[in-house]
Amino acid sequence: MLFKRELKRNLKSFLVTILICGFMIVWVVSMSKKMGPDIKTILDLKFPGPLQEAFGMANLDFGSAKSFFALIFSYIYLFLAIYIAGVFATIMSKEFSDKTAEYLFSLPVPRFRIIATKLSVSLLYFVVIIILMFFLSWISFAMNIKGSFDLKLITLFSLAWLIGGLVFASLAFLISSFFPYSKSISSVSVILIMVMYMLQIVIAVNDKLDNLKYISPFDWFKGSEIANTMSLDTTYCLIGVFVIIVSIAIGFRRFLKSDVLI
Amino acid sequence: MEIITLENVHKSYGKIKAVQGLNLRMEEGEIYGFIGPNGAGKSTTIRLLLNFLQCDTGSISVMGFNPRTDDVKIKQLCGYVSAESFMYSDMKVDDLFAFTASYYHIDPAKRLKQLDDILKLDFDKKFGQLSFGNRKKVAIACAMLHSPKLLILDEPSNGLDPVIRANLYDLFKEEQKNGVSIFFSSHVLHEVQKFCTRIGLIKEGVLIRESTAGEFTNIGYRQVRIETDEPYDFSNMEGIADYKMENSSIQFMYSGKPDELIKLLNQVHLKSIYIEEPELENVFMHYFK
Repeated sequence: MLFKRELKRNLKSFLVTILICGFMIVWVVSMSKKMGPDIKTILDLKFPGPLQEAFGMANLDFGSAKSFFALIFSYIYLFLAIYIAGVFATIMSKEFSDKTAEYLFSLPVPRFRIIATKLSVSLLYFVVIIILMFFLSWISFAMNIKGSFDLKLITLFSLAWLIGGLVFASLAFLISSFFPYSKSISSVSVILIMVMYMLQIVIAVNDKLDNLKYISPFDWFKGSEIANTMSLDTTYCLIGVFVIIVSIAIGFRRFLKSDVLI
Repeated sequence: MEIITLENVHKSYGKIKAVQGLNLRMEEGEIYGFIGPNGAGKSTTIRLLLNFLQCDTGSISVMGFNPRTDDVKIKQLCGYVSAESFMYSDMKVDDLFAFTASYYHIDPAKRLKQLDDILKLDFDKKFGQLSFGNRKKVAIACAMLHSPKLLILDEPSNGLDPVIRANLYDLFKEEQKNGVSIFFSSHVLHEVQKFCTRIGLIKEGVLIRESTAGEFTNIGYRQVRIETDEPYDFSNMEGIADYKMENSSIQFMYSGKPDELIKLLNQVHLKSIYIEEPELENVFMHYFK
């Protein structure tokens, strides 16, 4: 019953996210057909080299549609991160801040199962979004691009969104376990993401801050790098999975033990 | 059989000691009234019983189970109403009942009909659209849906109108006849005095008085009220406490010998006099004023 309620509760944000991200993919892939290599001139005028690197648009060959896909990668990454971090931040903290935790925890069900159910619904929605994005990209390419297109690139981008998104989500979940009664935990997670996003830009345009490179998970996965190397950096994938597991485990434990004071 | 046992329980929030060495016992079938001023530790104690909080030291047993290790078993047998009664505001009331009932694997229809007759529930509205009193009624009905053996209620009558309040206490009495034990906190002292079989008084996290309802007001004092034309100040006399003088009316608690009181009252011209057992409210005020 809680699973059903959580599905219903998160449905609206799921639909909004898939609509916006889906539109972005369809639009940019169809744009590649119209604009082709002309976009390079526009980008060179608007964005200096370091900024192009920061946004993951450097060294792209705009003669192919995959480069346009790489261009939109970081914006979808940012949007998905904001969505899923907001969802994970409120998984349990909303029960505390809305003062419904006492009612929920008074039901004869272990707290472990309550937290696990709520986490699994949020994770399920995110995985469904990634799968839908994968198929939407595939269909967009198939409809707009004549000739062959690379399914591997779509798979790599989807994996990067999944891992990167879950890194932010798990961190938001962990932070919320320290401030379960805060109503602004969702905003805090958005601020964290925006800081990380801006940080990768600041680092990219300032050589002195090069040591800080890769602090931001946005630096771990760049559209241009993935498109050019046709691979994800294994080290960052492993770091990402480690951060996800540790953050979820600590957050989970904290919510299991946390006092309910309404 | 003891249905609730707390032995030397301590609970602190940082430097604030909410419960200090609390010892409390409640027998099966009792209606136990738990009273005390705001911040005395009533809600903390209730939350400890339900494993919403974990005690620092001491031991707690509810229906023979340890809340820390067997909280699901306790919650299967127990119904709980919180003081503020927050539930999902986006859910319709009948959906909330279905949601609650699903965890007890019961068909709530028959029980809901019985509870609706008493509490006059509003099934079609969303919980968030209800007034505080109506929200309280829904929370009480949810807590009683699975016919629990133990009801733990934090200020259950708060926000209810007098008719529903009277019906509710009749329902509690009826439940008690069916073997249900009820542990509740309240600020409505005359209700506690009327309906409880036993009363516990908590002050700064310590149970300072506990007895049957009949004996609770027997604190060695008599409540004296007199009306007189001649204002006279007895407040410094021996055996007098909680002295209040308003115009021609004087009220105080007296613990001395009856002869001494007669001598004292002989000094003034009395229009009327009442000497009676103190009410629970007077006892409460005696301890906390």
